[in-house]
Amino acid sequence: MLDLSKYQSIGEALRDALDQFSNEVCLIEADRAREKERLTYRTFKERAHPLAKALQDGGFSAGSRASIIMTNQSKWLISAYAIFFTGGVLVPLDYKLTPDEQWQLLKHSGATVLITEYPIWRQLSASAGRTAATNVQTVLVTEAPANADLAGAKRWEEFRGAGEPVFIARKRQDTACIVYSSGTGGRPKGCMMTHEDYLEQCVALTSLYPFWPGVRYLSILPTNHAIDFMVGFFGPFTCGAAVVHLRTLRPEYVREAFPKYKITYVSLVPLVLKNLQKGLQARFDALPPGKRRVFEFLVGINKALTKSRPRLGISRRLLKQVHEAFGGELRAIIVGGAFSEPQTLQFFYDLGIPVANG
Amino acid sequence: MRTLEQTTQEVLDLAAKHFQLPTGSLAPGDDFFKKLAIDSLQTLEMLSRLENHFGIELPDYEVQGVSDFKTLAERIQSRL
Repeated sequence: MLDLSKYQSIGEALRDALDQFSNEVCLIEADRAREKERLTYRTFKERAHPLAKALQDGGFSAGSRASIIMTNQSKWLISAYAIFFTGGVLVPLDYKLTPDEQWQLLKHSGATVLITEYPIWRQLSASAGRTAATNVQTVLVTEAPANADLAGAKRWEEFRGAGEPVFIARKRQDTACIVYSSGTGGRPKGCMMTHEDYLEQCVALTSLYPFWPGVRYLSILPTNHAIDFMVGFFGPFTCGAAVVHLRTLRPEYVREAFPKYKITYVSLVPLVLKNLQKGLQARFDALPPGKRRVFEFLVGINKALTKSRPRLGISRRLLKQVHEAFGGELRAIIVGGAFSEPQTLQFFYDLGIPVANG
Repeated sequence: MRTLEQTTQEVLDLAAKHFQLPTGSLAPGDDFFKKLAIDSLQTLEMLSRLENHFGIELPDYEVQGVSDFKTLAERIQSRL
């Protein structure tokens, strides 16, 4: 892992990570059973730098603000890196908001650049709210069909500058991201997060849940969300680990991803965790009585041996089939965003899969 | 080739069957989250059933923000 105490900004740390781990895989993107992308840190850089250069050529500079409204995919992270590299402030917005809500936040944030996906842009460009956000001057759209009407936007894939971009340094106290939160009152507010916030959070997080080259994080929570931004981008990237994106969140493909990609960590919302628990419990209940007794006996032993702390090696040996269903490499599940029932957390812990609840 | 009306009716019938409701109890304009009292995960399961029935792939982004059967049927129809 990089020594983040030496760094001033997200962009600076990511820039060094891309060089230090150049031959490691950093991104895998799958659409259902098909793998669409597998990028190393080197190829990630090769994709990001022309975008950064084009942004700079267009006048994007230190403190300029750019918003991303995208589902979880490789271009989200490539775009975010290009924004940080050029000294920009990232405004990650929720793709599930209505177009009018998104335009309101775009206007409020002062973003001059918007990077989004074609299906989202189709709705955004047709929304009356567009007229209010005059600050948004450049719109980059990914994966637009060849004959699509882009309504003034440019194709992300063709927005490339020639030559190397110039890295723009930022200080720890400079704003890195403006994150909109509905909070408890329901009125969105933009939280100004500094580079130091992220650098320090990353140090704290990786001391508890370490990443290293070979670790694979399954990115399911939206990357605009604080949890996935940290554990599905900045954390793994500063450690040379890989992030796995799925273009569909159908339960059957999420289940398949664990053994297929040997997932090490995943973060989930409580609803999905509860669903996983129900699925596992149904399978345990369907065991023949003899096997069920053996299974419960092994769970009992695991509970006794892991009472004070997780012991992955022991749990994986005792409850081999359960762990193999998750790919055999799963170290922890991270859950957040809403309340999780203690029984659910305990259920997984008793199987030797700790759940970090935050 | 199915008409939009036929597709809509098949969507309603399949949803009713999947969630064990009487045939004819669902209408095209119904909000399926409210009418079926389902969460986002159950919606994804329903979509998988519909994909298998119609033999299509319906990307998640195509159904983002869709909450009524009529619009869902239109999205399916456009991929038939």
